[in-house]
Amino acid sequence: MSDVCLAGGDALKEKAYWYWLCHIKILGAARIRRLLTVFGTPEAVFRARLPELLARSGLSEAEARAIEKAKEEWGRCEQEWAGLAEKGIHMITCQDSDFLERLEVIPNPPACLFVKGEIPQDSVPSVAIVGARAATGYGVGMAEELAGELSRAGCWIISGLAHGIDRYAHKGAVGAGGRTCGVLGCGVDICYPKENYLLYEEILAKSGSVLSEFLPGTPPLPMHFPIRNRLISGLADVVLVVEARKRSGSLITAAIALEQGKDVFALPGRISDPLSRGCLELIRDGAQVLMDVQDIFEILSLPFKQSLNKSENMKLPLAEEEKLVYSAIARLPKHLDEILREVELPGAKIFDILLSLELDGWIRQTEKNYYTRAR
Amino acid sequence: MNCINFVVPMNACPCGYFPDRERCRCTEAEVHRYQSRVSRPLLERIDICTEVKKLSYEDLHGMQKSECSFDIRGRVERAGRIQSRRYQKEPFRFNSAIPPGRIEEFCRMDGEARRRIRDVYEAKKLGARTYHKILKVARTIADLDGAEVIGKRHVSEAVSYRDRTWECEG
Repeated sequence: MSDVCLAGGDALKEKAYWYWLCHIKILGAARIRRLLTVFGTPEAVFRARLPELLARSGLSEAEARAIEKAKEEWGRCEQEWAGLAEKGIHMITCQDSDFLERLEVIPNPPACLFVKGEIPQDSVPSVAIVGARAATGYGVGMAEELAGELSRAGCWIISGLAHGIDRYAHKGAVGAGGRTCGVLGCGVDICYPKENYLLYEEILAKSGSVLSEFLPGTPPLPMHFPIRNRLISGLADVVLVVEARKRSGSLITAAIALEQGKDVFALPGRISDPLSRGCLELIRDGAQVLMDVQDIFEILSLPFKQSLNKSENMKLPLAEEEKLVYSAIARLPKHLDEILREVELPGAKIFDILLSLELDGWIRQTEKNYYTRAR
Repeated sequence: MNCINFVVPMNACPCGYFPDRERCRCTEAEVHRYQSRVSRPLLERIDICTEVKKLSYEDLHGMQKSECSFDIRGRVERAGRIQSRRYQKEPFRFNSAIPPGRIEEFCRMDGEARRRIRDVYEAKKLGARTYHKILKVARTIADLDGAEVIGKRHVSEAVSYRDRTWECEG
């Protein structure tokens, strides 16, 4: 898509026309791009009359009439558009110079995107982490841990802000002080599911973003999700499926990723676990098996990461006894009883140290009495 | 004055296995919905909340030796006597009944305990009710421990008995 350069005020007006064009529901990304190839700018589309629309652009009668009808909505659109900036929402169109190359090159690329926050730049490596909504403790623990490791190494973590794996992938990134982007199946001003609202806020607070192809205010309809999944894999260099049942949506995302030429990794699990079935099938069918976060580092040519635990603990500003307790805690949530069994200190002392570590932010509880590292 | 001891069990999710994710098939939304049926204001009024763990076979068949009921009862009665003496001139008998205005007087803490409860108060953004409850439970833990002044570990233990929903999970 060629750059169309416009001066100051015109550029803003042009964006308003873009907004108007995007809100015509019957037109998809492909149609909008086609219109722009023919007419050059959304304003030109607006000014074109019905016969011209029909003749030049290969639109169907229904589509052309919809555009014609939509001209009545111009005033409302312009106002809505003006209101977006206040909400922190900005729009990036395929004609903007900062439109992501990653998304430009996928099959059926989007025409415009709505974003809150900073989008993942093309120059920074990014990993999409997807998987089941009703995931197991193993899955969410791994999602969080892997997301943390990858984001500490400088990767953006991309996911869908859904329940389960998505949520923990975002959490892992945020918890590690990294950046993450949630691609939504609804407007960026809507947090779906609402249980993830605090996470949504936290992502934005920690220099991440939420992004959507759908207009602000669009509700999360089921049919939106397969469409948005192509953006999740599109924004990533590597796609990791953490847990999936057979025939699950995540497998479709993996298929899309392959079409887009991305590297697909799947996390293996036990063959008796239905939630690992999909991942195991992916591996059998050729996806790469993730046995260590290093596997992804290698594919992305990231510097080799020194293994944690022993050597890291030596440098921590903690008292000896605190280090003992801290080293018993990993990223996979561990129950208090297990910690009591493993650490050779009296129970009362362990409670005390656990609370100290928690108050100082070294560890946190995911559920009551389940401890995990907080940083 | 009639007092009751309110002791009630509760599951954490509709299937009852949460947070054992290997067996719990509930979605996070279901768990959340189930738990929010008991409101936070109600939970805040509960003094002690503890988890009942799954018993291993060994536990069930008494392979492990633990403190026998008789000894435990002895400790409880001792703590009861301490409280009787402490409150002999008062209209109440037990730590749980200390009126808010007299918490400072009866729940004396050492420096470390004081710092610990202050840290918890700020980190967890406690309210007065919860703060007082923690101190009263700490007082009882200290009594069971035979300690006259409440120490940091008594406060820590009392804090560990607060229900988890007082935390905000993002």
